[in-house]
Amino acid sequence: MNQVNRRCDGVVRREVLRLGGLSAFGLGLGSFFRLQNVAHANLLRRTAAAKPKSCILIWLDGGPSHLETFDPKPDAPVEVRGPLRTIPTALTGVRIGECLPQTAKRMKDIAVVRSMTSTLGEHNFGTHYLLTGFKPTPVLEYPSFHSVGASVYDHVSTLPANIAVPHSRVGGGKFSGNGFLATKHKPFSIGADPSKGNFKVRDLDLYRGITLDSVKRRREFVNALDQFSNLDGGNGDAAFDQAFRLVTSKEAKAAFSIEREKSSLRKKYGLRTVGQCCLLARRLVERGVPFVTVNVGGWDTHENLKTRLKEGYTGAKNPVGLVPSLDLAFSALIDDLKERGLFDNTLVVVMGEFGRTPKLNTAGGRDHWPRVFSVALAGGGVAGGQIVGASDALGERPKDRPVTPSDLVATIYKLLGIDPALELTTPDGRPVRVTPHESKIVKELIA
Amino acid sequence: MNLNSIRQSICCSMIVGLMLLGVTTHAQVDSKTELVDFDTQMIPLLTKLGCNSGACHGSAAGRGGFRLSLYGSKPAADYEAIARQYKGRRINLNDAEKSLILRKPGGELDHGGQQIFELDDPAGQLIAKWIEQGAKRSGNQRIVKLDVGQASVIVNDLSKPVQLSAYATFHDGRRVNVTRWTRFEANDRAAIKINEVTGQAKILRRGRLMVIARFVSHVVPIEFIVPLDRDPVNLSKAPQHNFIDRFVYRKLRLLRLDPTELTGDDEFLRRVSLDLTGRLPTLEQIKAFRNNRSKNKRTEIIDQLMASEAYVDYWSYRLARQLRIRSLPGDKTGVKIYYQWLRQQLEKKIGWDKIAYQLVTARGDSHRVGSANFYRTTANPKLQSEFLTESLLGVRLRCANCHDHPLDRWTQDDYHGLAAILATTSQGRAVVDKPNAKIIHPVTGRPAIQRIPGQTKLNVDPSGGGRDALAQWIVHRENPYFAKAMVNRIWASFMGRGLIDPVDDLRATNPPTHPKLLERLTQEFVEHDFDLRFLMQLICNSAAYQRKTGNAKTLPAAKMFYAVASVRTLPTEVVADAIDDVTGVPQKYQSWPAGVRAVQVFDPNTPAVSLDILGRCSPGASCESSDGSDSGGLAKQLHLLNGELINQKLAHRQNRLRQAIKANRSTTQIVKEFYLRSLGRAPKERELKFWRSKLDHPKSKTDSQFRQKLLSDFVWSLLTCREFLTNH
Repeated sequence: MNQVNRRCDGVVRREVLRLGGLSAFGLGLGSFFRLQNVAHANLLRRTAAAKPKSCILIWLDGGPSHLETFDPKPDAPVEVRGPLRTIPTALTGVRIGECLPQTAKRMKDIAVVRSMTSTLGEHNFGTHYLLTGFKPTPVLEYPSFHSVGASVYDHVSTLPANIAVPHSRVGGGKFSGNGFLATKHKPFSIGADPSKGNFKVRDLDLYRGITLDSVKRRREFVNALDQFSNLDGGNGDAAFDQAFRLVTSKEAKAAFSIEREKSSLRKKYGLRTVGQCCLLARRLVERGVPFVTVNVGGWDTHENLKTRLKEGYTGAKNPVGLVPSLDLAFSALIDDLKERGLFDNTLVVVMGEFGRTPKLNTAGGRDHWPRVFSVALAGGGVAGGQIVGASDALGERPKDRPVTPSDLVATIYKLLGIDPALELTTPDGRPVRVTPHESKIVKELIA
Repeated sequence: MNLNSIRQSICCSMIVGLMLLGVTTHAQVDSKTELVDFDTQMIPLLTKLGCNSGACHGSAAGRGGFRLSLYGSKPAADYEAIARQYKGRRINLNDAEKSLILRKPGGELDHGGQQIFELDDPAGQLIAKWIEQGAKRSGNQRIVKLDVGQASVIVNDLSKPVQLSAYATFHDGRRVNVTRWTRFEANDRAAIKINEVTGQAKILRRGRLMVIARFVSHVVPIEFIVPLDRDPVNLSKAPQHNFIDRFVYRKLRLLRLDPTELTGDDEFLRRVSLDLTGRLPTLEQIKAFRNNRSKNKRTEIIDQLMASEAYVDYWSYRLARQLRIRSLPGDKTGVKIYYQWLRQQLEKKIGWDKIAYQLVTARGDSHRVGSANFYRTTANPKLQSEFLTESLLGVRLRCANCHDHPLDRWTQDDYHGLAAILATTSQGRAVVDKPNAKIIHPVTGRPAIQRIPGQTKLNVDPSGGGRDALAQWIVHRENPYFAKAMVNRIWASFMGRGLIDPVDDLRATNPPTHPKLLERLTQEFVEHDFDLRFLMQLICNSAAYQRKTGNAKTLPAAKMFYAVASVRTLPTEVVADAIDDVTGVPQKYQSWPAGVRAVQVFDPNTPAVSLDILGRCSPGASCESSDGSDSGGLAKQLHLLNGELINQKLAHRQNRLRQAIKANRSTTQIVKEFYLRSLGRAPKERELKFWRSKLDHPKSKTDSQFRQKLLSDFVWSLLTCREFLTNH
């Protein structure tokens, strides 16, 4: 039930978000969405208003070490400094980890926040905080910013508005993304790794032995059956139509055909999962998908930091670990977006749920450290070429300009053209802002 | 409506209010000498104006540094915030009109919520008068009850507005008209327009409408029944199978809704089989039921189905989901013992009260005592309190963790009092009493005092007797929630909608559509020792259950009042089993023996990609409030179309279709057989015609491969059409 008929701010809620009270008068959310979907299905193209921005989130699941990536401490004692060296960047006086040489060259396009600070050092909790801007509570699961974005944008297209590659399992798999929003805003997980030779989006290709003729027939048959039965509430299922459109649309399927990219470009992105996922993300964004999450696991480096972050395997001659792979992917993505004129309209965010302990542990790894960590942003109206905030000499806590996950998420919303004070209504009628009241936009980040 | 138009309507109604001098109410400034009481006049005013709502200063963090308790549930704290906080800067005793609490909402100073009233409005005047009198709080005025005259109103003439009224009874017995300062909120604001000053309601839509009256912390619902604009209905010939129908028809008569006729035998059999056993009827069952000439054949089949193994399987599955039974990380033993225990209870026809009593009082090694796993459902006593009240009492206590429940009687003392009881039980493998464990009350900062929700403090010895007292209270015949919650849940699973909806949200402000029916069903359930089968046969035997379903043109009210039978999405596991049964190719679930059905896979943590994509209830979640129709979305449809689930079975060499083709069955025979297996009915003539035209393709006469393809596509469409995926 919706208890609020007078509101404190001037925000006009979008009709589609006004879900709260519906179930109370007999129209379940399910049927509500079917109505919505029917309305949407009639529109063939995306609303032509101001072109909404896209966002590619490169999510480093497990918590990347800030000391080996964007905030190294070359002058600290060896147990903090760690086993890796640092390199200069395109920004005078700014050094980053040795495994990020390509990124270093492009620092004029990148903004790094070195003073991110959180209090939550557990994967699920940290993930929830970074992706939603809210600390988790048992009372309500908040939606991630990409699900909120997908629900706010009037996205009508054959391709889903919110896609996760290769999958959407983050923070230990408990985090669904859509929070209290409808399931349709959950990221569509492609369920396959584009760096693999046999890459295929799960269930997108026809089943072996099934022809396109069959698919068309199936659609005709099932529509006939639904008409024969004429059951209450059976007036079309938008998801079903979308599935058919997606399967039968060469164009839409081609969005996932990463093999059509030049092999030189594929190599430039790096042939590991993160690289090919970023390339796929670019293909999707290019075709109008507003939200793509690139999920990269393995960053929970409690041991053998050097092997996992740099080398990839023991004794590797050319480093192929997590950071070099990210370096190729991130830098190639920036170049590629620029070349295609997509950079200014595509926000790229690189982050994980927390940083790592400044002091190496006895297993040669670093443990969870939320008190200070780094996030990198590029494109989409970000003022690149700057470092925002700083950590202290040992990378333990923010030295100045602390930025909370709430602040970051508010800034991301701002960059995407979504009011951080926008209010959504939960299914039980509570008005909930998309960011907490106390969140402050990091103004320096906005060009 | 956007804020500006809301603002305008408030202003307009204020002006109207000044003209309506005839209305004299409690809080109006009608005497210069009478003291304005903070608790019973100022607080209602703040509530009426929306100042202390969750969207404004009543939010947990307040707004603009000014925080009030939600809907004024804590007057003392509100007084502190208004009159004392920041050295009383919000109040100017020397010049009342200069007070911040007047100048901000009065539009003189910048206010996040914009201008709320004019300073010479009654609202502004009341606040000014209170400040002039010294901005005091006596705290000696208490309101013990709010009533609204008629709680259920039948409105026939929409052209005339309805006068809402509200009366507060004070601690000393005074009953005062407080309509002017009561906040009336319509559930559906597009259906009722309420004049905030006069309390006159203009009804714009027909059906059943609800308005909540709120005064101080009291909330009372008002129901409006607005009959459809048509002639009265004659229900004298409508079938009456048992008392349920009497209550249902009473409402239908009021609303002038015609019920549909009873459904045919085939559809009834499919419906009742799916509801009681989670299975489609077999060809043999359909045949036997068709051939049964007995007058009581529907009652007989209900009894037969309830006596089957399949019934025990299916209802064990349903109850296991209600109790969120699942394996825990690194422990697959507990779930097995727990499920076996639950299944045994159903097999032995143990009453729901005894099941619940065993759960709440469970002690011992959870690898040996099944019921002890109840305490391993959640991670801590607070979550356990929320889970316990939701699953056994159908009550949502969780709001009361952080603030008193805005729509219900639950206070933070209730929430933390219950958590304090449950804290005395360990939630590890060994479920044992730990009498000294405490939980901290967030308001007092001290250990919360054990208390049964809504009751007074527990007077038990501190050695862990709290749980036993709690269990006795829960299963007591007079408990206002326990039996009712289960009756409502069972009703919802057969009728598509709870008499109270949603089923886990029982509260005074969410009244049932048929209060007397719910009362009677509850009474029967209690008198029959909380026997689930007894309750189910009552429902299944009613004409209300056995009606035809509506179609796309059916009015929402017809569904809500059971003039038609509902169309319900089948649970994911039931769909998966039904696909196996129709194709004749059983799915094998990881590490489970072949032939185990999805509803028998008692651990929802068992990996099963298809079930995940189809949208099974995720382990440990409450899945009651969603109707499941959204789950899965695009991924689900893609999976149905291209995934293994159906395609692999259609490609199987031994599947039923291939066997029928091998046996040289004609297209008509095949269509008929698969209609019967999947939809439980024969195809109508025009359907047969359609299928013949589509399936008897000239090419299929010469090309047997092609024929098989066509027929496979036909079976695929049967397995994905709405008639198959729903119970109706």
